[in-house]
Amino acid sequence: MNLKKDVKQIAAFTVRNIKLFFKDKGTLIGALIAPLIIMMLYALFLHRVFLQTFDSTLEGIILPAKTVNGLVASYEVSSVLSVCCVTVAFVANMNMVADRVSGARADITVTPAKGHVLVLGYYFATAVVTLAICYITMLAGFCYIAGMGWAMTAGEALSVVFDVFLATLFGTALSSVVCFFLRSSGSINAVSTIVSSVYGFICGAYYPISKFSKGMANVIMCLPGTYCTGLLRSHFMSGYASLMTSGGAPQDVIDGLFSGFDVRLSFFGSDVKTWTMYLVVACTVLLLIAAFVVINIISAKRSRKSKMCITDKAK
Amino acid sequence: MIELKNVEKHFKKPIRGKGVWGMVKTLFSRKYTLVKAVDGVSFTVGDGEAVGYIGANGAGKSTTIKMMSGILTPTSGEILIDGKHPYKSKERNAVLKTIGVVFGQKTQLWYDLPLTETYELLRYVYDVPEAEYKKRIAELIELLDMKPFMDAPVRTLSLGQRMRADLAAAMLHNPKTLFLDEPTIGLDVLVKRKLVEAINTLKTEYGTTLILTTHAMSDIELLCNRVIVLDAGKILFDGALDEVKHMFGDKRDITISTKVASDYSGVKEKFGEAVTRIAAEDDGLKTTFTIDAQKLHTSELLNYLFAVYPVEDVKVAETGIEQVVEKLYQNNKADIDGIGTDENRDDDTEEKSEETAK
Repeated sequence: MNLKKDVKQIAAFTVRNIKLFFKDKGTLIGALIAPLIIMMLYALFLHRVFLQTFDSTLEGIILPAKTVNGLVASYEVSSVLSVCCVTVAFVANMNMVADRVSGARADITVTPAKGHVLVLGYYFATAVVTLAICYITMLAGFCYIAGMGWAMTAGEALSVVFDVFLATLFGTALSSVVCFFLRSSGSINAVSTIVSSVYGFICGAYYPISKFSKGMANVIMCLPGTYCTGLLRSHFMSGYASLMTSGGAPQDVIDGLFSGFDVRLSFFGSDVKTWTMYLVVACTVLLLIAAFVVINIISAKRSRKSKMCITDKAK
Repeated sequence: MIELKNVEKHFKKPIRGKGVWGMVKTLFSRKYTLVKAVDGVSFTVGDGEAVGYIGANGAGKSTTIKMMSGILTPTSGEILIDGKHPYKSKERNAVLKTIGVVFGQKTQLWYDLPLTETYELLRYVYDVPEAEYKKRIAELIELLDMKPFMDAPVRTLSLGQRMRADLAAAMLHNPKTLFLDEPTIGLDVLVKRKLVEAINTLKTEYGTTLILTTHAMSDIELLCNRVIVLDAGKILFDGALDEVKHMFGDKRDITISTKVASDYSGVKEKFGEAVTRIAAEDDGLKTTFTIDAQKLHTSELLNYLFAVYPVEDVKVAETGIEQVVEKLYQNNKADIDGIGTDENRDDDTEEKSEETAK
């Protein structure tokens, strides 16, 4: 009975937060076009650079243009998607901070809404908004790859859909925990800017991890976000292996290329299996959600006992 | 039933250093002063009672309301709402389901969403069955005349509309107790009257217990039958509205207008101490007599004035609660100052005695 009531309340809060996000057209359009712009920039300015890098790795083996172009496009799209699953979540979480700034969050404390209901309402709303934007980006990416040279099987495409879902849950949980400590709209803007510029590097999206020094590569491999990128790279690009083999590329060259561009990740010299990557990301998501709920409940209890209540501060 | 037993709430207020150096020092070692916002408050409010909780700014009214509604936890003492503590995690939800809160200086409505959306969400939060919700919202829309702006975003509403909407939100789950923290603040006379009438109707119709904090004494006179006066976190007075009104005597102000200025020394001679004050205005053309209604009937004085003086116009006014509360504060301040002065006087005397001894 209580669970049913909680679910209904979480759904009501989620709907409220989603509506609030979509009401703010500026933020919505900004969040929607930012990944598409990055994808366009990749296609216009970096595609040729990546082609040259791939060609040099192929050691003179000539492959059909569609195969190499498709491979490069897949690399680009997986990079954009792995970053936007996190950065968009930070933008979508602005509602939570705005509620704190306006005092709307404090008003809820005079209703019987439980702390975890409120928190999960924010979490699911951010996840839904981020997911919607990331899936739109993914569809645009699929179109781009299809134009360049498609090699994914239906299973791999579905895996990409699931990877985006999981990466979004991770991005949402991470941004929720970080945004919890933010108390002004200026601070969320600052954090979003920092995340947008840094996250791509530390998750191996902007630059292949194998190209970093060994120590730095191992540090990056300790960060769970790297495995979201790894999953996306693997499912976007694995399909090109058979095309490359039929095009005459030796297996060791393909292996070298895939290792060099993070299609296959290795941690302290051992290959990381796909299920391990899923496990790491899933566990991280659960841990972050639990942390988010706990810090919110502790904070609510402390604020009632503290020197000043939230409503006083809001005033 | 609401019970407050020796409730205290202390806030730690940081002392910030002056200037840049002071700011840097504050970063490393922060000092605090202890502010007693509520200091040993005790009272009981029965079911269906309407209590005006009044006091100057910073007297501790809102803090008490926040403790009673579970937003704040008392530093010491106990608060019970129908036998449950609103600030204890396990009992909190049960209490919050039975109370409604309106903060005049804030809104609990979602700023960018239409009213209907907030009410829908509150329905889930308070677990109100759909049929009951529909009936209730229809009644509130009718009573508070909210139909024209039900679908408008809250940010587009006027203050009067917003207050009505806030009141409806607080009443949606038919709370047993309603806390109103300055609900008429900033409203014009007409809107204020409409809102007060609506609160009165709700109170009468549903038997809701009402705790009202306000600076507008007219609201208290219209809505409450009991008054608690608070000053510096302590209760100065707790009693019936009539009692507080007549606390410093049952006073009446009788103002007469005459064509020519007259000498009213005869009034004082005839009625003696029953006439406590005679004040002249407009070069003696308008005179106000303040009488103690317990000693002298208004009609008696009026008959005398009409018989002796060329009276053209008369105005009779009862001493308002506002003046009484003002006097309460003044007396309390005088008491505190008096204690201080006496102490100083004693010290001075001791010093003088020592000097004399030397």
